Amino acid sequence: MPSEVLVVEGLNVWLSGKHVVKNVSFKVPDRTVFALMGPSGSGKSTLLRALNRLLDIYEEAEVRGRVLLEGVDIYSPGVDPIWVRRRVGMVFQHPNPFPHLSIYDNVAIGPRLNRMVKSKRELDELVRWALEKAYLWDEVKDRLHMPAAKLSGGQKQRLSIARALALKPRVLLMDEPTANLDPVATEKIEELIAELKREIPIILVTHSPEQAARVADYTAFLYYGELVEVGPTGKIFTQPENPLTERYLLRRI
Amino acid sequence: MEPRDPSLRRRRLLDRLGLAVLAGLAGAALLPLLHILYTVAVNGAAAIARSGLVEFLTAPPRPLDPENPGGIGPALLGSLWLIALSAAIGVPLAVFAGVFIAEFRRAGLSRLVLLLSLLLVEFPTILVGLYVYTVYVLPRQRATGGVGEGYSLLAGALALALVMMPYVAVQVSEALRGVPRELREAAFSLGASRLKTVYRVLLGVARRGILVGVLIGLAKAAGETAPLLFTIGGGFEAYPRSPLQHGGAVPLLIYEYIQQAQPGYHQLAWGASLVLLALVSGIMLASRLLVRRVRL
Repeated sequence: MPSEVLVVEGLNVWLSGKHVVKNVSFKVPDRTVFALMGPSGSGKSTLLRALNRLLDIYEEAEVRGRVLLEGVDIYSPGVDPIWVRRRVGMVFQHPNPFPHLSIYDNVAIGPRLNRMVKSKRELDELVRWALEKAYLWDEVKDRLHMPAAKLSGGQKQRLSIARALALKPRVLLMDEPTANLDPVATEKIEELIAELKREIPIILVTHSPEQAARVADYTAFLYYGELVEVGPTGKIFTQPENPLTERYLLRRI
Repeated sequence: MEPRDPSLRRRRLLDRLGLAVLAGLAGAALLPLLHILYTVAVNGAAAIARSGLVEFLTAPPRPLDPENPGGIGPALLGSLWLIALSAAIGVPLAVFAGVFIAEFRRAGLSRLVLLLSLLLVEFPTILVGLYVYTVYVLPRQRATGGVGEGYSLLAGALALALVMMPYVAVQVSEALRGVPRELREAAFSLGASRLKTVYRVLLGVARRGILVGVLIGLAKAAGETAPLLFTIGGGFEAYPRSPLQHGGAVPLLIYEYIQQAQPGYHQLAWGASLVLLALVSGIMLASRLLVRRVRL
């Protein structure tokens, strides 16, 4: 049993006074894919944004509870949210490379912002490493200085993944990363997820139970802000304990 | 459908009639604008042709000399000074204010800045001129002691900056707010601070909207007359040697010359009108062409 990289204990989130994540607890072991599935509006994306303190940028958000990243509570008073975000990478629902930057600069911006490298050569190597990890290097190595906006949707999403990886995060959060992609691009991203989990744990938000079944080791079912059930994916899909989970998997809710 | 639907003819007729009415009304709305452009172009071109374009743009005016009417050089130089100075003063402040309004909404002060900017956008510009006269021109006049002292291009640029700033600030804040939420989140998720998110990512993504706002602000400043009435002091014959001295401006020259009796003045005013129109439309056109749109 690998050790847990991320532990969530009694997490609550309010948005403008509305209770959208209700007393959620779960553990994410190292080198696994942990899927958060549930219908739209169930609070999955909000929950995900609590795990890298991204909710801090919204004044209407209030978070209570504990999120332990390798044993450190990221919400304890002495912790800098920027320190947290550097260690927790994030990929979004819309492929969102920065449209005004080149492919290279999109990957380099994280290391530059955080002064991770000392020389141009070191940065070149890091950019290449991240693009290779994201299965994008071969497609873009001859046009690194082209605007990122010219890539296809699937390539843009892999570029967003490379951008997150360049910071060498300890955990990767993915918020419905294939929701806006075609089936071929989706398959590529799912292969990539399987490859990446050999090194870091991935928390994947998805509204598709099929995707959770395909890629996740653990699955949590979130319904109206409450964690209905969590466990190994095989068990959740074959022997759900809660009738709500069963009804969701049968597409009855 | 019946091939001889009796109502079909009527409906087609009504359709054409409706279209004709719409086109007519649209034309009526455009007609005054086109007529202005036409009048300025015809009268202006005739006036400029009498001197020659280069002469008209560079020479001092000789309104009473029918053989050699000169041009609007000193006023144009004054206008260029005013545009450059008001941009140098107003644009950085307005961009900061716009960033503050859009990105630091948590602060109550930011809402106040927005409210004031929206209010000042519609503020009568003559009051801005009066204000700069009171707080800047008059004290300098008292200090130097002479009547007619204290006026300067710098004072005019201050007034123009005040006219332009609220508009540019609101445009900048609008452009920043138009940046998709996930791009902003992506910047933060990479460990960027709020300030770095603004200047490394958001200003870049919104650059087109920002530059268009700035250029339209400049065009607005270039065409204003009222803020200059009590501030720059005029003087259309001599070239301003420094922005700390009084000087003229193209809109003010038009205002003064068109009120004179002799036709020589009127012709110079018409020529100046065409130059002003070209200047303002040139800035507007540049704002459309200069910046490639950032494709999302």
